[in-house]
Amino acid sequence: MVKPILSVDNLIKHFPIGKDSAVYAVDGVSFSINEGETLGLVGESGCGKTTVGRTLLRLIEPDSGKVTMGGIDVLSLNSDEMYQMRKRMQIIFQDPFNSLNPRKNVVQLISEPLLVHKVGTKNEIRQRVFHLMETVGLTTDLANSFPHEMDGGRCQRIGIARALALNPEFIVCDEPVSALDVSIQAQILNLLQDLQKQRTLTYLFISHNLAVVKHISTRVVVMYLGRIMEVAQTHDLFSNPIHPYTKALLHAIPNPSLRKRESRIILSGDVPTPVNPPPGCRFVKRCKYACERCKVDTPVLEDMGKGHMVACLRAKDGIGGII
Amino acid sequence: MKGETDLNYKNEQIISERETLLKINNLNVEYRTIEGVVHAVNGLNLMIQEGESLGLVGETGAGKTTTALSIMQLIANPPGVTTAGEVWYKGRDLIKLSDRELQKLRGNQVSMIFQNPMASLNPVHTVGDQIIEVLRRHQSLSKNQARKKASEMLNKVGILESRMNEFPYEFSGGMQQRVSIAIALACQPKLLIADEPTTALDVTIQAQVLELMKELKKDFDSSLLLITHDFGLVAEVCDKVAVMYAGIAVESGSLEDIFNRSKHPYTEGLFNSIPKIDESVERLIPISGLSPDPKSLPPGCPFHPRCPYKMDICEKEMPGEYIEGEQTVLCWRCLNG
Repeated sequence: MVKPILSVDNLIKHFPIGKDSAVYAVDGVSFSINEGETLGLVGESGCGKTTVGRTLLRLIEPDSGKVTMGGIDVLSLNSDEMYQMRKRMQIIFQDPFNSLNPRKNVVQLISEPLLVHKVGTKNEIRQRVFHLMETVGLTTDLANSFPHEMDGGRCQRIGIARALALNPEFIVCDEPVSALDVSIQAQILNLLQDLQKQRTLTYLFISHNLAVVKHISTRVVVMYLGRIMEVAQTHDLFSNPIHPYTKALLHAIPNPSLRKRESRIILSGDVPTPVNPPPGCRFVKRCKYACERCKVDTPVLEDMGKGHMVACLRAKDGIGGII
Repeated sequence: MKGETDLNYKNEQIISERETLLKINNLNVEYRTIEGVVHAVNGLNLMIQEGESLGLVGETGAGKTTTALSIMQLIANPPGVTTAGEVWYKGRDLIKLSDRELQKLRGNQVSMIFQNPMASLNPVHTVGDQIIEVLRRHQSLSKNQARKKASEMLNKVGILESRMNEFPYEFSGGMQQRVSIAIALACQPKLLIADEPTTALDVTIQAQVLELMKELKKDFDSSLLLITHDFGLVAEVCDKVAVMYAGIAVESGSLEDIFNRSKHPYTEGLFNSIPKIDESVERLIPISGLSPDPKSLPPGCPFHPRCPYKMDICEKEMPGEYIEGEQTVLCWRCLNG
């Protein structure tokens, strides 16, 4: 039986702007991640994907909510306890160049987490660093290179080695391949999959690229303006999206094949700002199925069968047969 | 649906009877820097017919943007030098034109949309003034006429006229890119060059911008050179494709040629390394190794160090063109059957 390794309950993070407004970056997000699975988190820029990833690790402190990792309430830990907890949860950042200290070479960069957590003697650490380099596919002759001497793919491998150094159980991958070229992107995706198999890792994979998320994830969460719109098994989400936003998002991806496509749904208007959003459904302004109720009532995630959760008031009445 | 296919076929026929608008022959561009000579474009051949859309696909550093800039003759010199080649536009070699003649062409007959709209719009002028500028520069219009036409252009790209007097920062990324499109298309250019026009945009906004570009291109009967790293975009917008690697077009042809019958190992490798939304594979097949350093390109075929089908000759000599119908491939494997 699969058990959740991490669960998030009603997570809220608002960034205040001045006295009486705030960016509602994450506004009541709940989900859980099972051991050994990859949960994809997709959405457009500004929907709060990264904020979710960072609040889980308390790199940003959430306003309220609950994050439980292996039975421990992460948000109630004091700094000593959190320091221990960080060995179990790590993060890979989006921009491999800016997330590495340009004045440190590969060995220094990868040994940093080991030194911070005082794992073993100098010699042991050095050995572990070389072992990690081999694991992520960096050749030993790069040991003394600096980030600026390497391409994005190699820098991202360093980022992955740093995240793996302390043998975590859970890794937040925050757009790990979006800064990379496609041929390199495939190398890194394969590496992440191999590592997951070897070490039974659990990933939260944040990306705006739906094709990548589909490829790597077991389940997918779709976010829009700080809220979750839909959660489902990857196959269900892509073959049978229910939320009007998910449908539009899937339609918007240019498909690199010449197969005939159905007529596209093109959303009108821009993504509204997450500053002081009105009540009701966040998607109401761009949704063609919106009714009066959608402007007032806030939809909550409801199970539509087989764990396919949708937050849409109109999903239950079938939205006039579109489902 | 069938009617549409027939129509496409008919369109293709019309296109093939049309004249060549742009022809690039053996273009070589290098950047002479302190660290060495960067060979950005190394003998590129390209052709765009009137009314046609060509997708130029390649990874970072393949020379896509340099190609675009050399069509516009906008490469900063120094460090950029065009060492050889011709860029024929309607019977004139753009490389040999004087600055004055080029200024008449740019923004008028040939115009460009850049990747980052915020960086390509002038932050201290209103968007209206920026559209008026290009109109007044190229067409003998009075201020009022230009103003009227600029507001029509804004309407065409889906922005309310009332926003004429707003500054670029007051618009979202998608809206800014619409403004860039309005500026680029204001004079109804024959050739529109779009350099990664939607890379900075979200997918739902990208879909809007693409739809708009397709519509306006049809209305104005312009040709399009779309520079991108995204095969998805090419499939949506283009008629023809050229795949660029290390400064040359390693393979070019119709959409069907490239998507269904690609012959170059690099094209094949690219397709194998992208995850696809309508197919599931357990594992992606990446191209091994890294793109070559344009400061020290390998001898022979530039792809040989990463090529799974490498032969002895690939390391020594640059392959010539293998031509089959519309498809052109630079590969020894094709040449030797």
